[in-house]
Amino acid sequence: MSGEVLLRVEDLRVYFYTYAGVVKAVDGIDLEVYRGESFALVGETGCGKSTVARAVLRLIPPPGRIVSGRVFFEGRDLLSLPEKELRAIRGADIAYICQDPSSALDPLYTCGYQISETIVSHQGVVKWRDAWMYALKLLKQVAIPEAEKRIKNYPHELSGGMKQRVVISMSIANRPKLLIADEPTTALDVTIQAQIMDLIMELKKLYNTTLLLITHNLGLVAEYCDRVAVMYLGKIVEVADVYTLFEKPLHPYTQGLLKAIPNPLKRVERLYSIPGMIPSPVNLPPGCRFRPRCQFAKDICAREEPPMIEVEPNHYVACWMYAKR
Amino acid sequence: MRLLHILHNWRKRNRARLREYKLMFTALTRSPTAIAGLVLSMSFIILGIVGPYIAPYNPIEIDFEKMHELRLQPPSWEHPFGTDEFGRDLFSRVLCGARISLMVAIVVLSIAIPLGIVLGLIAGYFGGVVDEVIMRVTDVFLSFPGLILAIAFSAAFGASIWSAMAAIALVWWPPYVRVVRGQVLQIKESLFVEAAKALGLNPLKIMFRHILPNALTPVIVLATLDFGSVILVAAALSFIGLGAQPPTPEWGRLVADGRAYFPEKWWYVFFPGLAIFLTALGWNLLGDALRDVLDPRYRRRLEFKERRGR
Amino acid sequence: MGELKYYLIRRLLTFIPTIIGVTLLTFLIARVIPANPAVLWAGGIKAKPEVVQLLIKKYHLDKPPHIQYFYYLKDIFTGHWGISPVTHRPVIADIATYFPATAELALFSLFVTIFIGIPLGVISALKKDTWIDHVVRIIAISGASMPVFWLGIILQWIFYYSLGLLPATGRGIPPRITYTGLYLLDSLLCGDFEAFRSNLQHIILPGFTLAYPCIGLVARITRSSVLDVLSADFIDYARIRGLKPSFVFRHVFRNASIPIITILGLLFGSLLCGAVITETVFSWPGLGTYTVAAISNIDYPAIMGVTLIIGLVYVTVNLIVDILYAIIDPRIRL
Repeated sequence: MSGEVLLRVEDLRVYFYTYAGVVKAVDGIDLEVYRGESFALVGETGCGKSTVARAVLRLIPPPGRIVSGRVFFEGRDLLSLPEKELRAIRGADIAYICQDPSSALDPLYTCGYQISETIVSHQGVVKWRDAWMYALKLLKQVAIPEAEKRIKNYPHELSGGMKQRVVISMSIANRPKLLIADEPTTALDVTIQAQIMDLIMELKKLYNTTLLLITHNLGLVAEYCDRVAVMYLGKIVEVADVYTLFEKPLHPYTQGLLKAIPNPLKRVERLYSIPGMIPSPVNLPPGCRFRPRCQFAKDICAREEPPMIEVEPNHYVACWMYAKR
Repeated sequence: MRLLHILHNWRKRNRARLREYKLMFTALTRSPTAIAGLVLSMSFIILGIVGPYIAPYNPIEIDFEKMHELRLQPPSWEHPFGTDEFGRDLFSRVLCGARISLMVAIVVLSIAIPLGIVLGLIAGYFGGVVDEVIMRVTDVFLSFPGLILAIAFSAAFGASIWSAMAAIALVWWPPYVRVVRGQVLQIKESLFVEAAKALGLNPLKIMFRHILPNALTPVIVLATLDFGSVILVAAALSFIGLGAQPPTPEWGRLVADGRAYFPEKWWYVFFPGLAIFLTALGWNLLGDALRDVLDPRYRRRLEFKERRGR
Repeated sequence: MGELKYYLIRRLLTFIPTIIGVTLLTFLIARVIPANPAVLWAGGIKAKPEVVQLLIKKYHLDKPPHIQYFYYLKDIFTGHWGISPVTHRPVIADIATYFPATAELALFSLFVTIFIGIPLGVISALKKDTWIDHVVRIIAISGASMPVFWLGIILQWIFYYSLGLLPATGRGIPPRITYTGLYLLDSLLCGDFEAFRSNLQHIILPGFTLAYPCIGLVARITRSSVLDVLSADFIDYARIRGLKPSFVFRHVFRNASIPIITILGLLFGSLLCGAVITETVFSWPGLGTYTVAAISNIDYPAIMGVTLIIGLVYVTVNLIVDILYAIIDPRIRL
């Protein structure tokens, strides 16, 4: 289902220069996201998946730095764009739904104000009054009950789910072409997680945008996404469409991840967990990063990093098991 | 041999703590401002102790025979800070003033800090009505700026250095109550206190052995900074005529006396004031550095730096 | 806005116990702590016995303390703050004469503190760990260590005796008409620019002397609160949303202003106190000069009057700070 490429990331490297040493949060990844699809970036906490999203917007907090790479969005390299032009893209063409809506909203301003300023910031000369009316429309669109009342509320007066709806309404305020959702349901109650995901998908369809979902939750991926990239310690280890990945995972790490999902229909003594510990990101092992935890490890894995191999059409994996050598 | 053994064991048992102390010390000696603070405050303490013994002249007695020729002499080799209107050596007077300021600071803080700590512990640990009463009284004291209250108290007690000390001590304890109480409220929630309570330890023991040591860090920082502030306030009281009375060579008093001859006899005002400034500066620099050093996060960062340096 | 109204009412109600606390403490210092309050209030040991007797009657000093307190409160609210044994005028009239000068000085210093301290703090937050940040830190520490009376004398030495740039004492030419007693304001209001220039010249040295310790403190508080806000998630998210820089700044400023306003309220108290010291150096005809004269003349009613007025002004300022706080931060109103 390859179509037009909306976002292409090439050899992106983001390092954090901490007192403990250099943390290579993202260490040379390539990605392609096609227009209109739902693409998932999956990995454990700390594997660098959120950093990729932040790097796309070129908003890496110090001591982090984008060391190399290019990020093409509609053919333009975002990493070499002047700050002013990039600002116009953030929040408009590329919108972002963050993990924790409670800390994303300024406690001192009303929801209506915060949605309005997102609109006014991007749409030339819009009157605040018009922006406010549009904010109201958006709040209704994200199904906030009594939107007329809620628009004048401060963030602390809303529940977590409502705050996330407000954040979502901000993200769609400027009809984005790419919507990045960074763990959009992690901070929410289990009961409303599905509602929020359904809402995001509904809006995606309505506004005809592309979704980049960043998550550690494979259940969400299976249910909502078209293609998946699996990340481990700053590298992408496998890319495939959802069906292939769940049916025929190739990388030992992906296999482990899938085995670790509890199956409600099967009763097991102990849930599977990938053996070993994630190595410290400061002292990465040479060769394949997964080798210390991999049961199929060979000699070469300790010496050389595995290249990305297209095992079958549109199914890529970075593992020596599938190398022709 | 046996002693060595005990020492060895003690070091083994306290290894973590010793390492922290060592780190604190390295942290303190790394920053030039901390060293400046340490040097200034320590020389103040030393001068406060030995000042009167090393003073080249008698700081109080007036030599009436030579008074006229010695009167208000500018700084020279015999009188580095010049002389006052009675021909007394200002260097000796400033040296002896160090002891008075040191005494004021020690007396005030050794009344105010224990009082604040005990009240804060009680308020935080027991809560309820006790807390309410203690905090309301504290609030009343805090609803005045400290200096004006100190002026009123020392006017009520009558002008003398002792009444000034009592007055300053009376207005100095409330911040400590607040700080300690806040700490206690935090620590009270922690597991080890819960455990101690569950074991049925008596409240006094829990408060002083388990809570207090963990609540002390901000108190130490505040006390160091306050050492300078108390000296400043005492000098200010003496300057406006409360506090030390002549012929006591209190620094604020000296500045006040010297004003009559300013600016022609500038040294009379300049050196005592400089002494106040440098002393307070020393304690403030030290307190500021201690605040960083006592913060474990800062020490961790430093530890990493050290390791990488090696 | 409903919430805000309820908050205001609640906050105003808690003002009553605060006033009781303040008056109780001044009462204790005025009437209970001194061994012989009547003698003290009559002007010390030189006081005539008949005057002392009169005062015992007038202040009900022969009654138990709680009754005395009741009369004390009544006197305070009816404006009977005692008669000065030195000037033989009612203390409250003296205070009314001297207060505007002190208020002017303290307010001027407050503005100096705000206009120098806050920008310095913002700069040092933005240029964290650079030389400018270190300079601000040194200013702050040296300010906290500075005996203001000495700084005042040194500044007089430099700017008056050596350079002859600024006057060293007094308030300058009084404006033609006085409305508020704040000369700077009055001279502007009646268009007396000659007086305004003179008043401004006269207030610069004492105003700066008084402000110096506060400037560094405000700069440090501003620095840390700006840094706090800059690292907050919502600022991050404001950038992610691509807000205009001026909008981002608005979020930073409003959030950072909360601790700054709190510290300014507290500082106003130390400015009033510091004025007592600074005025002495600059012969500024305000409460400070009045207090110091009272101290040397053992004018106890005057000292207690000044204490009370400063306490009252201070708690009122903190009330205003709390209200501002609630206006800025909707979470407080709950």
